[in-house]
Amino acid sequence: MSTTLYGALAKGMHIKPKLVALDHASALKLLIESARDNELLIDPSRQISIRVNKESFKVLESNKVEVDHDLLEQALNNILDNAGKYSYPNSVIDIQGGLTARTRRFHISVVNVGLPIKSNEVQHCIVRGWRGDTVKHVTGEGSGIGLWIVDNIMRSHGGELRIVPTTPSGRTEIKLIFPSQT
Amino acid sequence: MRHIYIVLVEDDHLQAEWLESSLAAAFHNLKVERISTESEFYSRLDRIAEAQPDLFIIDVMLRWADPSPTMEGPPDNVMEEGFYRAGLRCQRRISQHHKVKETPIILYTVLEALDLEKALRDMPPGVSYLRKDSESEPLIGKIREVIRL
Repeated sequence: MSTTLYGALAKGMHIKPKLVALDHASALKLLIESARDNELLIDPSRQISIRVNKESFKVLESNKVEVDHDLLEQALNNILDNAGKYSYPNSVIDIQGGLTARTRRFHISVVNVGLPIKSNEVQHCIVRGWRGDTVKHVTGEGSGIGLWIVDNIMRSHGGELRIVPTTPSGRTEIKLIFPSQT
Repeated sequence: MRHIYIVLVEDDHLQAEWLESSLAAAFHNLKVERISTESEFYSRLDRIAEAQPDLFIIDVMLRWADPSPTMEGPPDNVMEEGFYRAGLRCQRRISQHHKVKETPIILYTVLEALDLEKALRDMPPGVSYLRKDSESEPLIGKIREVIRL
């Protein structure tokens, strides 16, 4: 976690992203590296892998997206760190790209199967310092600032962090939605 | 040569792997059994006690369980005391277990002795404290001291 970024946000400062085009190749490089780095942090005995759906990021070939690469990496690391901690054993964490159904905005989704996020918890997840009760049993320590930082990063891009509550089939999806480029 | 059997209770897998390899390099005929959560420790203690380990090395701050669809929440005393006293609860369970109550225990933690002052004052004789270090030598030295190799 970047202490400079956290310090700035804690003081109420606004982040100014340095926007650079996110093309197909640079997105895959960043995502694959983040996936690999975060997978190394997961206890191998839990048999959890992180997979990047490369094909799904081809939407970037026909859609212009600008992001701050360092901030995107930070956001991804925070989400993948959570997914690694809370996923059930023998499961896969999927990273997918795509366009939102109605507004056709580019998004990156992290989907996992693990401890559920209930619909009444979604709004709390982005509150600084909030941690779910079940989460405390499996992590012990933790600051509850990961998704708060991601939310700030996405809003600084004019985008959105969307937390989709866990489905009956057990899938939880965290979506980073970027603004459409005109 | 005598076989050494150590139970390592550590919830950080990177730390546990590093410790296991460091101890394996320092001691021959070593068997390390790793436990990564407080609930796993309770469920395995009876079977471990049957095997009569030479030493327990226990981190103090431990999570309760790994996520799983069948995971059960912790009992009330764990909820009240919190995860940062988990290793002390494990130590108490060992000290009350008729088969392993004399087995040495090293509480190996990032917590300073001051943080554990009251708990350490009331410890049975076989329990010692060692602050975690980036080098493995202090722990190896402590192990040699408590199991008298």
